[in-house]
Order: sequence, then structure tokens, then C-alpha cells
Amino acid sequence: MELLKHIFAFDSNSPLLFTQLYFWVFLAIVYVLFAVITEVGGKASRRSGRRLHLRNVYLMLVSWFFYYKTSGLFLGILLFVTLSDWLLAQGIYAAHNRGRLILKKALLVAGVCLDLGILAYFKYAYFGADALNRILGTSLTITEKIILPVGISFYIFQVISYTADVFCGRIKPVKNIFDFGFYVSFFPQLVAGPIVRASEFVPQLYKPFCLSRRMFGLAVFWIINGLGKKIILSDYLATHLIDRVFENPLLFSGFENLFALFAYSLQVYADFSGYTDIAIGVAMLMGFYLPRNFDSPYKSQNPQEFWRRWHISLSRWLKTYLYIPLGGNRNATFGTWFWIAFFAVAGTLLSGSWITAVVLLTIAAVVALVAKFVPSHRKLMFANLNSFITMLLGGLWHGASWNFLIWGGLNGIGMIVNKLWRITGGHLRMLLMTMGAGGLLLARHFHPLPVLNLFAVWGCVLWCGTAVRYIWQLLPVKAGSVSAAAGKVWAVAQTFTFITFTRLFFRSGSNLDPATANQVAWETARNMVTQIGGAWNNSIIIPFLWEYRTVALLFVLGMLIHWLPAKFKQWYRLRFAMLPMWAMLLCTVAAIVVFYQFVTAESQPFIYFQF
Amino acid sequence: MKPKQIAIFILITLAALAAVCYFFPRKGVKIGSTEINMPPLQEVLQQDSDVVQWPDTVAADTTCYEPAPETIATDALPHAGTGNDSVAAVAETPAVKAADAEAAEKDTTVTPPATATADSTQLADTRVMLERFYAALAGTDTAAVRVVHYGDSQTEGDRITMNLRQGLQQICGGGGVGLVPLHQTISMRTITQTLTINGVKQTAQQGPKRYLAYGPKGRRRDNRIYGPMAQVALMDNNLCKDSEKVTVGLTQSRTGTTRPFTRIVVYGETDSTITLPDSAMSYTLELKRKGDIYGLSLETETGVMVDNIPMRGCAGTIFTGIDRKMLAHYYKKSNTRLIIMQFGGNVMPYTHSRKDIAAYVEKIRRQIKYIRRCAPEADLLFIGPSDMLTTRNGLKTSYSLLPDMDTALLQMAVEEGAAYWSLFGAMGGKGGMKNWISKGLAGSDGVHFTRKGADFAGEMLTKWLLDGRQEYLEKLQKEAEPEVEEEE
Repeated sequence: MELLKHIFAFDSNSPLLFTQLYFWVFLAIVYVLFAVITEVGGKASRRSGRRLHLRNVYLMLVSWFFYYKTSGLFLGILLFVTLSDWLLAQGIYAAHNRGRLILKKALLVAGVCLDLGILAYFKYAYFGADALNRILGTSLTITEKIILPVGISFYIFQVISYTADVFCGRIKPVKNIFDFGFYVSFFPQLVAGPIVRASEFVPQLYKPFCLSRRMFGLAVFWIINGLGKKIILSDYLATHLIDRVFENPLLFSGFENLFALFAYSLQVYADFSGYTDIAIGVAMLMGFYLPRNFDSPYKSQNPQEFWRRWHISLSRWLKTYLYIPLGGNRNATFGTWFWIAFFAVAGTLLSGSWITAVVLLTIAAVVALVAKFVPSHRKLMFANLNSFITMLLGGLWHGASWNFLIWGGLNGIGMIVNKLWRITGGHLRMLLMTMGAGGLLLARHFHPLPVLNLFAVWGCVLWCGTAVRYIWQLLPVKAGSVSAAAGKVWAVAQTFTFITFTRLFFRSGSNLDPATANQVAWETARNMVTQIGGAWNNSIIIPFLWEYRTVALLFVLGMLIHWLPAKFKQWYRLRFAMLPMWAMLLCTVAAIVVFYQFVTAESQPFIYFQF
Repeated sequence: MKPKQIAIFILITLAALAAVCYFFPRKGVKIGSTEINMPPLQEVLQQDSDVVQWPDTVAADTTCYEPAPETIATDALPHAGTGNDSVAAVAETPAVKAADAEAAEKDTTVTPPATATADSTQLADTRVMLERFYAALAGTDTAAVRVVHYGDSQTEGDRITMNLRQGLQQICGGGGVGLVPLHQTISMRTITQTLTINGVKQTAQQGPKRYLAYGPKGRRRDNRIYGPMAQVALMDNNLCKDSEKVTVGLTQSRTGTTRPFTRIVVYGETDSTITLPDSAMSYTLELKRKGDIYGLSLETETGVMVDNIPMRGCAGTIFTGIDRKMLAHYYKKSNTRLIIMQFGGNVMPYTHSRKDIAAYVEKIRRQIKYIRRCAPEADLLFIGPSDMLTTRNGLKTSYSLLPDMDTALLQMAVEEGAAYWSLFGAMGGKGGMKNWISKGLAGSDGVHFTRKGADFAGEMLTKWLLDGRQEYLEKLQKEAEPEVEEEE
């Protein structure tokens, strides 16, 4: 009885995770039944619609069980949005066919509001209560702690995309609710994406199982690759260094904080992409293909490219369902100004300072004035404003915290500055950079604040790079492959550093109690900046690297693997995929033995280098 | 490929892994200095069930923790102060239990969060050692009483101490955050300090040369002159010429219940006191002299002052390295009546046997004896290590020797006439840290408390101390009452 309870009952302490044995035993059982459902009977029977329907219903029920084991009774929310969006999409399609456009729009608005309302309740209830209390002087309190259901953002975004696509006529609604339920809840991608669009996934529901030998090998590769990223590069680095630094930045010197910050950049990539690699591999084993979600993002040479390579499915979602409706690179709409006003208010509430509102409204006013009086810059201005709003919303989506807004805002600013930088001439670049770096040095001289120290050093490094490039351009030599490669390395390093710096605000605000997240996140970020910009101590660098040599080596190794050429990665991936089955099995077992060593590695004792 | 073949591949992989676990040597396989291990099959099958056995409330698994009193011979307990009862007897007296309940009911100033279920009576046994301190608290309306709280990184930034200070000052009066260093290199929640030389603010790396009695050996001084904070700041000509102006801005935080101060005592080669015309939350102090500065005390003429003296990475074995006269001078001048030592966490990762525990405990015994000689008027309270997690076979688990360390420290404290508060026990004993992490009271490192956790621990400690005071007062009252003879 206890065993049955353990297997079937929800336990918040024991969710189904890809890194746990329980999940793989679960998968083995699911797969055996999947094989029976898929293979029993003759060829015609296997390809029949009824058989495919049975397979889809089976996988949907299995996915619901998976979600129940992960989130308990929050399964009800998943079922509710599945039913509501399926009905609304049917209604939208019917209204379209009958030419009732107002009803069609009303149904879309109702669907989106319903979905976002659910998301907002779980994500922004504390912020909303706080905002109302401050604006209206009420004293609303949330007595029950609100727990965020696992993966809610992903499936909510997925159903919104489905309803919107039906509205726009990109796809026809799914006739069978079970097929739609399967699309929404397919367990490999349910918890952490990728966000799959109906147009990509729904057609697969009606195709019989098909997996070549090579694709099977690739599926196994993605699973091992994902487990390696998750266990070695993510969990190990987090447990042995990153978490302890972020939890108590003041216990560590500036160098340790900076190292942890860079290591976090690798960790967050390895964690997220590792999880989606496993999801892609598991889905492939069942004959379903999920879109690639990461494309070596730290190879990016500028922030725009980074967002094309990082969490690709979310970036695409934001572009399709947010950036373009806002006006995209064409114009500004009511939505553009609405969101500016919204962020002015939200930023003021979260930061506790009206300066945020003034800055945002000033930016919007400048953009509007330039767009009006300099028509040639109109599109550029509005495109930048819309992408800035999209990034701010991307930040707010992660949580109602000032840190997430800063993170989104910094990414938006980074993209805009880079766009403008690329259309700026060499002389002007040099002049601007000299003024910027000089200004920071002067500011740092008169006010030796940690944040100014940090920016002054960074400004000087950027100035050096700009100066080298400027001088190189003045020399009467043709650009060769060496200079191009050097330029690429420089761009990659700067983009990686910039993205890592923005992560300071992202990580500080992650995994916090929503009730106190804003305050704690801001304090953590401030303390880290204080340490990095003020408590630098060169004498501890060597002892630190020695004591944390495994962590340091893993970080370097992880980055080197990440930066390997795509062709080489593809080569070894295919080599693995085509290994004989016995060799693949041996490799899989050996890899798991190695991963286990990292899982069971003893905790690194605390070593305090700075007193 | 057919699904059947894939299913077989998955099943064979799982079977192969099971076989590896089954046949892998229990002691592991050594390759060079690296040891390869695999869990026994039995353990693999049980692992998940182990993970889910976390209790729901913070101290729900106090039963896991066997408090040590039964291992201590009661005749080893000194009869401190006015009390003649043994520790065990005090703990078991029904009146005391009733007083506890009553005190808890009356005490509206220090209310631990609703999840605080640690049973203070379980840990009440050594509070009888603090009777001199409790007696001194009775006179705080006319004189100042000092509590000095030494600790490791767990107390850094005024954590835990802050709650104790607030609790004591609310009941016994007093103000100010107590002793702080000349130059703040680590942020505190309750006070912000800025050291400026000729108007230029000094960063953590600038400012006066600092020597520490703990930490890396490169920071030691040739002599043993450090002062009560185990550190000294040297204001010499290299730092500032005679004509230069050195100021220290002291601003107490207005959040929480930090109380204003009325004077600042500069402890140095020669002490000086600046009495303010009125109570204040901030003050800019101008330093007009050179030499050693041991600390600045923000305090009031009466009431209780509580010093937070964190020593990151320290195991608490450094006090004998500080000049005795220095310590004695401070304790006497500040009327120190309680010295709290909170250590032990930093030795746990390096403690592999009971022999290691015994060696550490003996070192601490020497420190306690030394502190006693420096402060004969003060009572001593030792706070043992919190529960701490390490990784074993992929599972986060408490250090196996923590209960032994806790027991050994308790035994030693009692033998030395010091009170002992088991933070380990208060957290719920072995595995308590897991609960604290799950409730956001401790960081995922399994060692340090979060701010919320530090507040929780601080409030538990305060309640424990104040409950002890309540018991002491009730005992006095009972003794003072004339016995009523039964009429025949």
C-alpha cells in the first residue's frame, strides 16, 4: 500500500525530475506500453487513425500523471486551460466562418485575458496587492502563500499561441479535444519548454511513429548530453560555488563574486538547455520532434544575436505575439504607449523611486519627438522602443521584481545600443568611447563607489578594444582572417560579459519567496556589485582557484566545449548516433557512472579567503 | 527503428545499470587519487523513499535529536548562584514548566514565528548557569550591563545578535548597537559606517591598517594586542598626517527596533567618551588622535548593550591569542555580564572522528577558562554549531558527527560552569537543516542561515534566555514569600 501511495500520490518533496531514477523507470514503463499500443496489429492497423488516436490519448493521460506527480492538484489548471482554449478556438473559427468578426475578436480577447489572468494571479498577486495598497491606500494582504505551479508559463504561452494562430488563420483548430490535450501537456516539454507552436506540433499527431536508426542515436545523444549539462555543469557548479556566493555575497571577495557570476552564466545555460536537450531526446524516442531551443548562445557577437540563440522558442513567441502586435519595426501602436505608461508605474512601485517613471517617460517622449520631426528615423526609433518594451515584458514575465525589470531593461538597452553602434562611424565611435570611459574614470575619482569602479574598469577595457580597432582601420592594411577572427573573439567576449552582467540581476531575483523577492533580490545584487567593485583582493585569486580547482576546471571546460565549432559538434554527434547498439549502450552506462560521481561528490567545505 | 527495439534498449540500459550497482565493490574503485563509487542496488531502490521523509514543520523531527543530558553526570554540574537544584531537577520541576508556559504567554515582545516549535523546556537545563547575569539585569535601570556575542560567519552582519539586542533592550532598556570596528569592512543590518580622510570616503580596502587575531596568518600582529573585537585598526602617520581630518559617520538603521544611543566610547590605547546632548540615531565622530583603535561603542548610560563580534571562518580557538589585560579591561569597563561564544560550524567539515571532537572540545575548554579569567564577573553561554549538510551518496545529509559534537560541547560547557544552547537541537536535530532550507530559513549551501532564518534563530535564542530570566525571577519571588504554616 505504501509503495502504491509512493508511486501514484503527489509528494511536493519528490517531483518527477529528469535527473532522478524515478523518471527513467517511469519512462521505461510508459515506453513499453507505448510500444505495445504502437506496434500491435498489422501495418494497416498501425497506421489507422484509431490507433494514432489511441496513442495520443495514452500519451496525454501519461502526461497528466506526470504533471500530477510534479504539481499535484494544479493539474486542474492545466485541464482548465486545455478545455477553455480548445472551446474558444472552436468558437473563433466558427465565428470567422460566419463572418462575425466582433465575436471572433471578443473570443480572442476573452481567451487571452483568461490565460493571462491565471498566470498573473500566480505570478503577480503579491505585486498587485502591494500596488493597490500603495495607490488606493487599501490594506490588502495575501494570507495564503501562493505557490507557482510548475511550468505554468510554458503551457499558458502555448495555449495563447494556439488561440492566436487560429484567430489569425495560421492554423485550423484541432478537432479532437484529446489531441489538443496531448499537444498542451506532452510531458517532455511540459515543465520547461520548449514552447511548441501548434502549427509545428499538431501535424505530428496524425503521423504514424517513424524514427530512423540515426535519429534514435541522436535522441540518445541529446539525453546523455542534457544529463551531463544538468548534472555536471549546472548542479555541481551551483552546489559547490555559485549558490553559496549568491546567498551570502559579502562572505566572498570581489574576485570570488565575479567568478561565481561568470560561472552562473554557464550554469543557467547548462541547466536550461540540458533540460530541453533531454526533452528533445525523450520526445524523439516517441517519434515527436520538438524545436531546438538553444544554439550555442555564448557564441553570439551581439545582444540581438544572443536572443536569437537563447531560449529560441520564447524569443520567437515574444516576437510573434508581442513585438509584432506592438508595431514591430514599422510603427508604434496604442500598446506601445500603454506599456510605457504601465512600466513607468510598475517601475516606480518596484523601485520605490519616481526617477524610474521620469526616465521611461522621457525616453518615450524623445522617441515620439524624433519620430515626428525626423521622419527618416521614425521606423528605427519605434522599432527600438518596441523591442525595449518587449525585453521589459520578458523581464516582468520572470517575476514582479525590480531586479527582473532591470534585467529586461538592460537587455533592451544593450540591443538598442548595439544597433546604433553598428551604424556609427569609426571616428565617432572612438570619440564617444573616449568620452564615456573618461567620464567614468572622473566619476570614479570623485566618488569611489563600487558600481563606478566596476563601470570604470569595464569602460577602460572597451576603450582599449575600440582604440585597437580604430588604429587598425587607420593602417593601410587589408582586413585579413586574423583580424576578423580577433574581432569576432572580441565581440563574443564583450557580449558574454554584458549578458553575464545582466545575469547579476536575474539570478539575484530567482527562486525567492515572492512576498520578499523584491527586497532580497535588490540587496543581493547590490552586495555583489559592492564586492566586485570594491572588495577586490588579488592575493586570494591563486589560493581560491587552487581550492576550487574542480569548479574552475569544469567552468573552463564547459566554456571550451560550448565554443567548439558547430561543424565539429555535429560531426561527433553523428559519430555517436551511428555507433553500434552495444557500443551506444556501453557509452550510456559509462556516462551515467561518471554523472553519478558528480552527484555524490562531497560538499566543498567553506573556505574564507577574505576577512 | 521500431518502438519495441527502443523499449528493449531502455530496459537493457536500466538492467545494466542495476547490474553495475549490484556488482560494484562496496568500498569503491580507486583510480589514482579519485575514488569511483556506485550505490548498492538496495540503496538505489530505497533512495527516493529516504528523500520524501522530510517532516512538515521546522522542528517536527525533534525526536530525531536525542538531547544529551542523560549522558551527563548530574554531579558534574556546579551549583551556580543562589540555586542549589541540579540542572536536571530544574528542568523537571512542574513549577518551572508552568512558569515557562506563563512566561511564553506573557511575553509579547519576542514572538517567534508560528513555525517555532522548538521546545524550550527541552533545552532549559543549563540556564541556571546564567543566574548572575539575570541578577545583573535587575539593575539595568541604574547601570549599563554588557553582553558580548562572539560568533562565526553565522552571526556576521549583526545576525542573531540583532534579535537578542532588541529583545533585551525592550525589556531592560538601553540603546545603541554596541561595539563596532573603526572601519566597517562588512555590512551590518543595523548600522552604516563611513570613514573619511579629508573628506574622501575610504573603501573597504582603504582606510587604516587592520590586524586580526583570526583568519589568515598574514593579518596577525607581532604582539597580542588586539582588543575585545579580536581586531585592531592602526591610525598611524602612513594613513594620515597630523593636519588631516579623520571622521567616522555612524548611522544606525531606522528599520526594525534599533534604539538610539546617548554616548560613544572610543576604545583604544587610551579610551575616551563622547556624551551626546541628546539621544541620536546618527553621529559623525572626528578622531583627533593616532594609535590603536579597538572599537567604537554606541551605547547608553543604563540598560543593556549587546555587541556583535563576528569572526568569519573562526572556530573560536583564538581568544588565548589575545592579550588578557586588554580583554579584562574592556569587560570590566563595559560591565560585561554575559559572554556568548557561538562556534563549532567551521570545524565540522574537518571532523572525521570522535578523537577530532575531543581535541576541539579541549581547545574550546581552554578558551572558556581564559575568558573566565578575563571576565570573572561574567557568565558564559556557549552556542554550538547549527545543523549542517554535506553530500553523501548524492543525498544532502547532516554531518554524521554533529550530534556527538553537540553533546561533547554541552558536556564540556556544563563542566566549565557555562550555559549551553544547542542550536542544532533547536533546529530540530539531525536533518533539521533540510527543513530550514525548504522553509527559506537557510541557504541551499546547507550551512548558512538566510536573513529570515537568522531572525528565527535569534528569536528562539532570545526567548530561551528571557524564559530563563522569568524562571529566575519566579524562583526569587518564591524564596522571598514567607512560608504559610497550616493552622491546626
